[in-house]
Amino acid sequence: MNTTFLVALLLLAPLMGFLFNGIRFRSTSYKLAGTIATLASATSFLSALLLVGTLIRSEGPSGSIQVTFFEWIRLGSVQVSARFVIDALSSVMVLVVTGIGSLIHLFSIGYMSHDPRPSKYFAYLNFFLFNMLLLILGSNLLIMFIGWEGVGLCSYLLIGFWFTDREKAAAGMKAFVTNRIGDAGFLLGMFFLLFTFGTLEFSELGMLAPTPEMGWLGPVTLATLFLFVGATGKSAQIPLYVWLPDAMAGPTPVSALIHAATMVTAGVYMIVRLNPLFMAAPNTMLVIATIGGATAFFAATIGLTQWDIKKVLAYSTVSQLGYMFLAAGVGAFGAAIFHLMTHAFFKALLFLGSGSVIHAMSDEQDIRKMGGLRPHLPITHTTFFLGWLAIIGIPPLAGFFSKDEILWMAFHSPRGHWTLWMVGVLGAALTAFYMTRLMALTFWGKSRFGHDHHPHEGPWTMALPLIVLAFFSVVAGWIGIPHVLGKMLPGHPANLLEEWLKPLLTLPLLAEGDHTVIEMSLMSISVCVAGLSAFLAYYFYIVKPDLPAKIAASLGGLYTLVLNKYRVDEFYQSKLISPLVEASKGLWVYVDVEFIDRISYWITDLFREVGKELREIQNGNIQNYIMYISIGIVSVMIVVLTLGR
Amino acid sequence: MESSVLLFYVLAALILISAVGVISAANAIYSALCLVTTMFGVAGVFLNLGAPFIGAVQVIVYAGAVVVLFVMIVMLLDLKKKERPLQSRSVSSGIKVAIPALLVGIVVAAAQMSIDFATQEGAAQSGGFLVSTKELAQLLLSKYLFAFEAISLLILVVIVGAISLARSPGGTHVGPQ
Amino acid sequence: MLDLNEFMHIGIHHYIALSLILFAVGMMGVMIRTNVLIILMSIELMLNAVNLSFVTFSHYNKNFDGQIIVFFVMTIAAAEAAVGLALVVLIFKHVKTLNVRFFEKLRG
Repeated sequence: MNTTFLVALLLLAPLMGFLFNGIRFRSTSYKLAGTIATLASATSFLSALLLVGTLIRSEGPSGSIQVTFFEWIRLGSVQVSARFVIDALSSVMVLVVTGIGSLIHLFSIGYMSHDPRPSKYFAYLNFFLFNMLLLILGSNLLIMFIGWEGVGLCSYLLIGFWFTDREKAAAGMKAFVTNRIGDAGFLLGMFFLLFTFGTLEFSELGMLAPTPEMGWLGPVTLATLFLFVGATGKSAQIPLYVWLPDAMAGPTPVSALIHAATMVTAGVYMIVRLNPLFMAAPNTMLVIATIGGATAFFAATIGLTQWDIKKVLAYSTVSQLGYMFLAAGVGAFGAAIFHLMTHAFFKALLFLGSGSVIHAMSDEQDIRKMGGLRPHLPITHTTFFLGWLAIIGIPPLAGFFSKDEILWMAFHSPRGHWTLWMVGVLGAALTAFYMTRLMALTFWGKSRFGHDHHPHEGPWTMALPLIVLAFFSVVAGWIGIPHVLGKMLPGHPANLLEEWLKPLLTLPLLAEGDHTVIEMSLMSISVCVAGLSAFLAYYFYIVKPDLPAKIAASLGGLYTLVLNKYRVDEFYQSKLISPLVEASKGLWVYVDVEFIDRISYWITDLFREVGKELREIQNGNIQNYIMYISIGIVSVMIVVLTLGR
Repeated sequence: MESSVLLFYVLAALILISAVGVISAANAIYSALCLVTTMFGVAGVFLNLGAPFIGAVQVIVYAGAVVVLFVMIVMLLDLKKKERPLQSRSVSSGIKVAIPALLVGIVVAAAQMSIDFATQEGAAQSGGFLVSTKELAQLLLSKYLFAFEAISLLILVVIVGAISLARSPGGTHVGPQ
Repeated sequence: MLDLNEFMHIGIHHYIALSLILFAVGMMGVMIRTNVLIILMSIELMLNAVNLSFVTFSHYNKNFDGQIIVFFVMTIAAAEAAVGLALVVLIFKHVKTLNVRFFEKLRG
């Protein structure tokens, strides 16, 4: 089939779904709305499959399918087209996004069956998909930015979907405003790049990247720093991560799709897309790796204390995103994308699983009120179990391969450092702990919910996605088997993903020599740490359930601090937001109301008074009228006679 | 001084004094009478300018019908009050007097500047320009035939209109209701 | 400035001046007097002034189209006077006054 047609279909199917459901937003038939939306998403997935297949068959990983629809901007020497590119990198992303997206659309049909406005929900979901595809497939920064903003908008709309609840609406606003701050950074980055290089096309920027810059003020360093600010906003890193936990106010499938698998990965994708530029700015890479590592650890600590099932997963997402940025910061772009992919599978699985739990528990989200759900929710438990194994990094599931590659590269890359590796391992330990805690408190042990809850599995539309995602959580890692392990396995499987992405990545030069021993020992360390942590958590929460409370009490203030998320939100509120709001209020009163409004009232009053005076002329007195007419005639005569000469 | 010159000035004085009388008379009936004399003066000027037919029509139609109509209406409406016009000293009244004066000055000046002296000299020589009724009639019924017919239609309409107005309730027609 | 010779020979300018002054007087009457009948009479004055100037031009251009026009003007003036006076009478029946100051219904 014609690739242009396929790309158009890929992009337009979700848009059509959006229009269809959007126009019928008042409808309450969730089945029709959901089916149309899922079909649109599935169409995109099939088109993506066909396109990637074409790419594999025809050109291989170094080629690309490019489709230009129209020329958009031409201003002097700047030219931007509506151009879309399927290459090795975007093919991975597009398959993940459309595949997982379709599964989540399917899940939503069952999950949103009782909602009064299902059509609006599915319209927003489709529109999100459209924007995400723009972001992924755009061939230049501007198209990506359109998609970037669009997914931010959809995130706001979907987080605040139940906007009649004040808190949920506020959460949506918080997401959007925080994102906006990041977007300002993105824009500044774009301006820098445009000014320095005169182009925003990825392919051109990739070739124009100069040799690595020293210092902090070079144009590439500044541009990439600003772009990274945008990434921290979109991908919830320090300091702009605060919106993600609040975003759990939205429906759970939304959390799964947007805030786990797709939108939040946009920052990582952007950096990997522009990897030649970032490689030319070592200081920026240092910042990225540091913030990534710090976020990975920091968020994991908060995840230890949360009682809301979704909040635990949210902080887990922030933490895992930190790993991706850590990988990107040390130059392991392939590892970052690998982890992005595996994380998408198991995090979406975990979120959907939690959605199933919440649905079964009639919207109860506090894990202190759960427990012993395993016999009631077998499918959910099994799939969630697999997701748990994947995220804590137990081989041979997916999470092990991707996380381990990140940790190895953090240690081994010339841009990495063993301290980063250490932070990563500690983060992995914490991850194992809090995820096991979640499993234990939710599914195992004694049931703490009352008799008014009758948990049961959801319909097949909810079970099927869980099963599919669980399958991929197990096998997805097998396309990225590192060489050291590949040598040991029968058939010597290669690192397929690395081979696939290699042409597009500027990789740091790794030290020569055989590092099998170091790599294997580091790998074993991380697996053991994860296993120990998991066992510890099991011990704490199942064998001796009173122990955690005692430890929390003895830690006192520290525990409370972590429980309250280190009071970061309160800090932002008091130091940043409140002063800004006060200043705005002041401006409003003194500039707008006092000054500008006064001027406009003065002008209108002036006109009214003049009009009143002029109105007196028309008093109905005919003789006066005749007088005026004659004055006019005489004046005209005078003018004509004097000027006519 | 030639007789024609004297004649002109006498007629001019008559016209202007009567005109001023029209606008400044205390009573409406005095105004009407002054109007009559003005009309006669104008008729005289017409004769002086070699338009005997027009002069005659002026006397018959204007002085003999229109003014008579005015007089009848004045008497019908039975005004007893004597006004005291031209007393106002407001600014608007000043303007109302000044503007026509200004108008006269301007147009006279413009005429002085534009109308060629040669033409008027030559014309003054041929004082014997006289238009006979026959020539007027020939022109009226050939070149201006359409206008003539239209005017007849207009007069018909006016007659019908005036009668219907007079017959409307509360009209001047006094008879068995 | 005053050239007495000017006044000895009567030319077109004298007739034009006469017609203008008559017109001006009529205009003053329309603007100043408050009695509606006198206003109508002043309008007749203005029409006469115009007729005068037509005949003047007809004489001095040796062209009697001007007199034809005067013919028409007179007819129309008479017709207008008739209808106008009929209306005045009808209005008088209602407002019982001839002072135009009381006809100011069309005001802003």
